[in-house]
Amino acid sequence: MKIARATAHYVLLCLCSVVILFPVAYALLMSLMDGAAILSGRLWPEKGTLVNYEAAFQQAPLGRYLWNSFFVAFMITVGRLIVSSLAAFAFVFLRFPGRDRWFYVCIATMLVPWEATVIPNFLTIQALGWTNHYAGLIVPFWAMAFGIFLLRQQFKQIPHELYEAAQLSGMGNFRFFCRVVLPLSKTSLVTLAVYSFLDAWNMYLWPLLVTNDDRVRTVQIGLKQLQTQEIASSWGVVMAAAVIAMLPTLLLLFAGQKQLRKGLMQGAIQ
Amino acid sequence: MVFTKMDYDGIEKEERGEKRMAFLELVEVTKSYGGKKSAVENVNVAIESGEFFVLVGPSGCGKSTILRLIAGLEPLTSGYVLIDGQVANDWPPHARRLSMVFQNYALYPHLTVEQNMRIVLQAQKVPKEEQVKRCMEAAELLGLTDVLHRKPRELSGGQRQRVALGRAIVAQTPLCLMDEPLSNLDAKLRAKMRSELRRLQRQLGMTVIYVTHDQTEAMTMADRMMILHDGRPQQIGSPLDVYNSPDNTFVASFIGTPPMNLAEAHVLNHSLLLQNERPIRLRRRSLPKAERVIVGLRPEHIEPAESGEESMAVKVSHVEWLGNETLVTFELAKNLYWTARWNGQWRIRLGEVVPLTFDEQDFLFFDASGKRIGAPSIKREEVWVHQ
Amino acid sequence: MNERVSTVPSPAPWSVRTKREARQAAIKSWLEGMVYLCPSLLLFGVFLFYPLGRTMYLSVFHTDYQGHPTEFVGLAHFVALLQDASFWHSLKATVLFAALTVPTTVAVSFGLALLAHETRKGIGIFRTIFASTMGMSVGVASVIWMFMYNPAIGIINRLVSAIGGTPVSWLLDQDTALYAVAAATIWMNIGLTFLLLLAGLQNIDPSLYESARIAGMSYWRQLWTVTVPLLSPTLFFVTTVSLIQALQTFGQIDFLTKGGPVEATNVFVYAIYREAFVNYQFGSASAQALVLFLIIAIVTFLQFRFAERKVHYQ
Repeated sequence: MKIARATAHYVLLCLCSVVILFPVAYALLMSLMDGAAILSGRLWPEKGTLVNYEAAFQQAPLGRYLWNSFFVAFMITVGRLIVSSLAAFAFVFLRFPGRDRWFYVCIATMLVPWEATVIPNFLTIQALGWTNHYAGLIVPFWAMAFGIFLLRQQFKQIPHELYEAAQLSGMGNFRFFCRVVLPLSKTSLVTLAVYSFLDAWNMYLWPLLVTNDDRVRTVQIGLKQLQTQEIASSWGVVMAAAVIAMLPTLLLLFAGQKQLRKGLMQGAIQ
Repeated sequence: MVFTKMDYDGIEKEERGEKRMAFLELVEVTKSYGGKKSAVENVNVAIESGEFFVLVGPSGCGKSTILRLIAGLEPLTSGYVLIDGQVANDWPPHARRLSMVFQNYALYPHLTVEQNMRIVLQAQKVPKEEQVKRCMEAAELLGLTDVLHRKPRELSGGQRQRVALGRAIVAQTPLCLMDEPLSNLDAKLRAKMRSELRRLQRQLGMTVIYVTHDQTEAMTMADRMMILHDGRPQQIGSPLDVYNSPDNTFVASFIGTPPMNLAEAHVLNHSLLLQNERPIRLRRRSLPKAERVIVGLRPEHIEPAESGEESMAVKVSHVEWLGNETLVTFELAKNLYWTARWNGQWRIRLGEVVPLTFDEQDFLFFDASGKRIGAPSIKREEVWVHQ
Repeated sequence: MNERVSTVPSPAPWSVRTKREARQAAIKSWLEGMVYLCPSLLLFGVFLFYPLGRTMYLSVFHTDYQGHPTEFVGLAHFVALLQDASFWHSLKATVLFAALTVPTTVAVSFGLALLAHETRKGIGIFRTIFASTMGMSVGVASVIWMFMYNPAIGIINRLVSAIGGTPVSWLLDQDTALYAVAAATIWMNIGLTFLLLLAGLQNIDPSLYESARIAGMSYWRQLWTVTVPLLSPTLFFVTTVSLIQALQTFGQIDFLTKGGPVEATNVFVYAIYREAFVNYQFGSASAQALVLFLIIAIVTFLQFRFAERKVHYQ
């Protein structure tokens, strides 16, 4: 009976995995086939070829797109971590008049959907001359209410006695922040970093608006460009580009999975 | 020692020549996780119907594991669990007709007290009127009638514990398992609940298997207990049997507060040399036939010597006054401290030299490996295993 | 008994602080706090509060192609919207899209989380696989699904033909386009939803299940009595977030259908994008953006008002 149950379970798991993985596997297979093979309607490559991958890098500056996405996502993540952790620290450890009111203001920003601000933001960026510039892609996203909220929850779990002991020994606030608070909050910081990076990598509308040339174009828009160019002729190339573009995020997800799950569990408790 | 009819019912029956039918038996039960050292090994015991049986031992000794094996929450690695004479290894928990009280109570936070108690009965498809009836009876028994409509988060620790107990009572199963149910309560409440639990158990006639790490709980509540260490049973017996006649040094030092005093000793012709320093002349007692032994003596058997009595002089290193008794710690030999327990309030200063005396008959002898030397004073009970 | 009485020097008499000193100290601590908050508040101010205000301002003006307001029109944009068939069409598409994607994503992810919750050999691999769509960015997912939906050589039509059906132009057919995009969206969102629900499941105290097993509850009974109520905070959170996300969908639409065919997939955000950045009607686009804001606020409020009652918090 137990064996029957276990087998059924595994069968279900495998079926679901096949369905979930299918699009990715399909893209991978197609990317290894040349144009003729794809048009002929085969599913499995007769002889795998990397010609699509070469073409992907040649026909579009795929490398440049990837680098742009990476740079932008990285800078957004780092900026967010710094900005959010500073704010969260102030909300948890520092006492100053109006502290709680400012916190509610920050939380209120979570209620505002991004579309309500996109038009003026675009005009602002244009006015600042930041279009087609990394700054325009990065700076607006450094303040993140969700990040402040998450880190505040984490910082609150640090025993207040540590802070009092630090004060008694004459340690300054900033030193305490760097030497004690940040190291103790590694899980949340990693969770926030992984989530931010994936989120930033995934941005679509904003890069579409503020970038116009390939110098700063991110890979999401780059893929769109590539697809419109290659439509109906070299799907293999497009699939190859897609496979390359998914590698960084998959790797990150794989590496950060355990931390992400731990962080989400802590978050779920709140 | 006072024998109560209930404790020794079984032995009386035995003397009459009747066979005892054990309610629950464990035969050579072993559990190991993935090829590592076993969590429990070679557990053998027969538990009687209506008995309050305690599994006691330090943390990690395997007592909770045994409970979970009995409950059927985990499979055995080898051995048998017998319920009413039938091999129950493969029976799912529900088929074993038992109820369980968990250490953290396992109350459903989204249900009221009444719903928490009735949910067990709903699963068993007990008719609604019967459900309500049993629920009300249990609530009255436990003093929960006023909080039936509240949710667990609104209750105190003691109340939650009673709800968990209530769930076990309404199930009306013949066997009830309890996994350290009192460990989350404060000391005073714990003491009160100990006697409450025992009273309830007697009143309802439930067979209870109770797990605890607190030897006081075991001593005060058990009809019989099993002491466990590192997954291996050390001794099975009634509290007084175990107290007076421990099978090894672990049991001797685990049961009893303050713990039994132990010392290594050389056996000479008519005396013992404790820890190479302290000689003790023995007159009435016959010495064990080994050269090196471990000697044990309970603190309450060490008394202050009257003037003129034969005595041993020791230097006091620590004194504790409890109001009704005084605990005197003294240096028996270099780096070996023993404790004596004297009735009343004694004026003793640190560093004072006091004369002590004791009765030789109170000595217990263990061999170098810790096993008891000398016949135990209570006859071993036999276990009939039904094939 | 010996007791050592340690002599601790008594604290210096509390100096009398003047009002000025007290105020100075308060200002100092306020300044310090603000230094830490400054970056966040500045960024919120520039990129969130100011734009919000500006959107409201622009929505009552006609604007030129540079986005500068030219003529005050009051609520004219809003009135025009309510009378525009295209607006209602867009609203319908958005609502339908949300209704398609949110319940399905949550249900499928819940099922996967249940499957992946048990401890079995190799379960870690399956958990990674189920979570993998979180690593699929919108461009990657869109381009793959676009290929799969390709009428001529896409795999979906191939399978349909293989079982004897007629191939469909999934993304170009008015009746199927929205469903096609919804399917792709569901696939994309499963990863994160699955992880959140799995985390919620693993937070449930296992002794509650053991207690249920001992009482003899069947698997489905346990699911209904233990799992769902205790998972309800996470389910509520996931549903709310998914709903808000669904109302803000843009990337896949731009990629796969560009709002077509015949506006079948012209969801709200896409309509705003088109109005503002293709037609350069910043005024009316701002009005539309505010309407979207209002809708999201109402939906979230309704969620909290009605659905949250059923959530069992501990």
